[in-house]
Amino acid sequence: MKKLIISGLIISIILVLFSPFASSFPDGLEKVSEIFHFSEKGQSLINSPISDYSFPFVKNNFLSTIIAGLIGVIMIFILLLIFGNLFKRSKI
Amino acid sequence: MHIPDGFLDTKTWASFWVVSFGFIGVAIKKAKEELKEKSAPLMGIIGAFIFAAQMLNFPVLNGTSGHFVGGVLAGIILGPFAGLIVMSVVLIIQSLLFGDGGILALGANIFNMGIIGTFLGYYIFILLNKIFKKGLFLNSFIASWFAIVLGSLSCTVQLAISKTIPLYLGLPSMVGIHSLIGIGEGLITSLVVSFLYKTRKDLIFIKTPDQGGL
Repeated sequence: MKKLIISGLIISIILVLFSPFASSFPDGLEKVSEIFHFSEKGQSLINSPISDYSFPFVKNNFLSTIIAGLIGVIMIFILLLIFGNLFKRSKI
Repeated sequence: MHIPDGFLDTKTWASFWVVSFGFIGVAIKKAKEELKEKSAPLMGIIGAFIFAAQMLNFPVLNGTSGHFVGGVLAGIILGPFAGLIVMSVVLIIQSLLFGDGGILALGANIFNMGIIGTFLGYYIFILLNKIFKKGLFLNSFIASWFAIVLGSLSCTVQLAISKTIPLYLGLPSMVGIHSLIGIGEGLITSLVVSFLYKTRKDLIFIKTPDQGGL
């Protein structure tokens, strides 16, 4: 199991390292909203701390994307680990 | 396909909040029955992988990009209920922390990218397995392709009932572009599922023939 967790996390981290090279074209829905002129209807109701997958305070775009991705990977891993364990315990 | 706030009207986002969080409530209950010893770390890993893979937009036609969603992958490996919990956590974190997908639109996004993949896509996969017993790669490819296209269809309907864009305008471009993005989704899902079947079949939710396993 330990091996599985480590290799799973390593794969996710490698994917994050590639994220600065991801296409910056708008995604399917964004593109359609631009073509049909409703993109301006989009709004942010809260100030997301790591808005647009770039970590604030880090000027380098490359680095700020990677840091944002790593934070997401680790947070989601830990949250789901906690949830999974909660479910298992409450079963008994 | 993450819908931002402002695209959906109140009746639409509120309805999908009720539907999606209702589903999540049922999923939490049912996931308790599905979960095994290895499930908690596996949920964590699948969630982390899906989040990371979603960051990797790949270019498709005409200056547009798409990215992996992962609903069908989560459903096949973890089962539809635990899979939905993983997808919901990913989508909630993306919305709150990264501003990717609106808060009000969260219910609609969980429906389009979570429920449609982990349930509808999952059952398409099971159905295909029953018909084409040896077609694991193709079956997971087709199921994931459908999940993306049906997700985009659902998204377009939500935009239409919100009077953001009429169906006859939105449908061809949304479904058209997502039928291309779905090819990427299908390839990634098939590769991961085939790889796990070969190396760690014990980790995959579907095993017995009556569940459509191979």
